[in-house]
Amino acid sequence: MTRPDPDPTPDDPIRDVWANAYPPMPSEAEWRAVGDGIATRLTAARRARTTRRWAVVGLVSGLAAAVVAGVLLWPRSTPTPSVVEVAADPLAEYDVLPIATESDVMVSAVRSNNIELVACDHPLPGVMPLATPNDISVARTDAGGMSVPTPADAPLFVEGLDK
Amino acid sequence: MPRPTSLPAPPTDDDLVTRVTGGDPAALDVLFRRHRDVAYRVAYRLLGNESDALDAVQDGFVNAITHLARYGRKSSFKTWLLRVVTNASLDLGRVRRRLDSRFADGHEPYLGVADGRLPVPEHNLDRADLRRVLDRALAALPEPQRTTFVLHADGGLSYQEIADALGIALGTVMSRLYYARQRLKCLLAHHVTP
Repeated sequence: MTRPDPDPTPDDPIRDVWANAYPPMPSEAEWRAVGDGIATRLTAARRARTTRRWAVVGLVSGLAAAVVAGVLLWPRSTPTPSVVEVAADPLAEYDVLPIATESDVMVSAVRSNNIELVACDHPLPGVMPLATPNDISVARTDAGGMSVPTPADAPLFVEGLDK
Repeated sequence: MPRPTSLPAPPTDDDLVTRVTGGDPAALDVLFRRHRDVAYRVAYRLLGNESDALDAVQDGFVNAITHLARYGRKSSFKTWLLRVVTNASLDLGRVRRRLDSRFADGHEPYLGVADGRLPVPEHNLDRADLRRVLDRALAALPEPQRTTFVLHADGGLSYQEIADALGIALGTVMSRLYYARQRLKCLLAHHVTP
C-alpha cells in the first residue's frame, strides 16, 4: 500500500529499527484457528440476532393479538342487566293478608245454582282470607315507582258490588 | 491453443463485507486473509506478544463485522477494522496490566518501562531482543501517541485515515506522530544508527 503522506524524516533511523524488529508472524495453523474462531462467533452472533428478532416478532405478535382480543372481547357500552336484589318478602310475617275485613265487604247475596240466597250473617266474619303469602309472590317491590311498605298500603281490588 | 483469459478482478472490500453480512463464509475467509497481517501487526505492537495480538485480531474482526452499522462505510474497511482492532488491543492491554499489577511478584511490568529508560545494549541485539526493546520503547509512549504511531508505522494508514479512525483532527495526528518520533529517538538512541 502506498502511503500518501510524506514521511517528515525520510532518513528516520527509527524506520530501520522498526523494520528489523518485525513482529513474529503466526503460523498458518494459528491463523486457521483465529479464522475458525471468528466464523464461529459470527455464526453464533447471527443466530442470536435471528433468535432475538423472532422473539421480538413473537412478542409484538402476542401484544397485537392481545390488543385485538381485548378490543373484541371488551364489554360494549350497551347496558348489561344489573343484578336486582330482591328484597325480603314484606308480607312474610302475615299469615293472612288483611286485605279486607268484614266491615269492608258487604255481602248482599250469594249466587248458587242460579238462586240468590240472601245473606243474613256475614259469611266471612273477621279478616277475609282472600289470599295467603303462599298465593302471592313478590317479583319486585318498586314496580312502576309504587312501593308498598306495609300490607295495609296495598291496593285493594274488589269486584264491584251489585246494589 | 487456449487463449489466455484475463483473471476476474478481485472483489472489493465493500463487496466482501456485503457478502459477509449475508453469511457468506467464503467472503469472510477472503476478507480475513486480506487484512489479518496488518491487523496482527498493529495488535502486536500495542500488546507486545503474539497470543494477545491474535486474541485482539479475533475480537477486532468479530466486532468490526457485527458493528458494521457504526462503520457506515464512511471510510475504508481497513481503516474501520484497524480502529476496532486498536480498541480491542487497548482493552486487552488494560486487562493484562490490571492482572499484572494484581499478581506482581517482582517480575517486569507488562510491556512497561520501570524507570522510563531502556537497557543499554552490550552487543548487537538479535531480532527478538530488538523487538523487546522496541516494545518497551513503545510502551513508554503515552497511549494516544503510541496508538497513532502504530497505526501509521504498522497499519500503513495515512494521516487522514488515522484521523478518521481515531476521530481526531489531522493536525493532532501530525503532532502526535512528531512527539512520538522524538520520544522514540530518545529511547532508542543506543539502538539506532545515526
